[in-house]
Amino acid sequence: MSQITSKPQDRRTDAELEALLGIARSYTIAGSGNATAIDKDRSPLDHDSTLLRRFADMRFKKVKRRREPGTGVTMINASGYEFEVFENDQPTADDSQPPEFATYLLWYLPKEVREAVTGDLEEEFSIVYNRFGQRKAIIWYYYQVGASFWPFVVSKVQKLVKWGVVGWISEALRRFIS
Amino acid sequence: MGEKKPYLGEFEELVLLAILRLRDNAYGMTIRQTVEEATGRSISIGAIYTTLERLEQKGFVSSRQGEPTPERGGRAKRYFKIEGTGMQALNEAQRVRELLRSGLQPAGGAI
Repeated sequence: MSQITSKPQDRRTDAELEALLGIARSYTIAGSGNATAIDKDRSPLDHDSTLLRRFADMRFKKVKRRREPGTGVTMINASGYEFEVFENDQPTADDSQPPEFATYLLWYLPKEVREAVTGDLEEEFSIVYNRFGQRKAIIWYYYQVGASFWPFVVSKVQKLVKWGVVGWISEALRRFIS
Repeated sequence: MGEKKPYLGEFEELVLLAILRLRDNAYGMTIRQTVEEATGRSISIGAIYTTLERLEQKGFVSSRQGEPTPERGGRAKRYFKIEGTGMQALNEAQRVRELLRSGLQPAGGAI
């Protein structure tokens, strides 16, 4: 099932209309879903004429496809128009899980914060995943994991330097006194 | 010499204010989101936790283990709350700011 969610732009040619309708059709054929083009404001019965009228006002330039995780919906964006293609195949549970390797890296965080940080990142990963899709969520997750290490490394180095300086002063004093 | 007053860094102040705002729902993720929304800066969860650890060492905040939830992979939340000394430090930081601002002539608009 497809639906138009954005506003029409310029007038389109018949060839463009055909191409655009072809996107929805080819998607139905290529995927395992049962996509049908409808307008969200119209009943499914008059969807073809509605779509054609709407498509007639479009300029067809480029097409982007984005799968919405956890919903079985694929967004098709063509020249500012967005189509939702509902599919039968639901994403697997692993799709919505953060990458295992990045989670494994978090094991090297200090143990006092490890569980809380890992849990927070995993919770937020699902929010980013549902909003922006799997690819962006994975990039976001790796970035967060990488960025999360620095403050702990800097904090550790600061402590080492501090105790190193204290040790050096105490050693100097001990020598001075003796 | 008088009693040494607790010093609060800029980021520590932001984190404390976020905890204050979030009340009973102050844990790493929500604190990070609140500070990010308020400042418009990208902040890592690591930066939040190192600051929280420091604030806890200073006695400004305390933490308790929350309940594990499925969306966190069964991991527990760590909730934070401000202690009395933390409130004092916040008030002191605000007092110092107001003291330094008072009587200043605005250079490029109102301060």
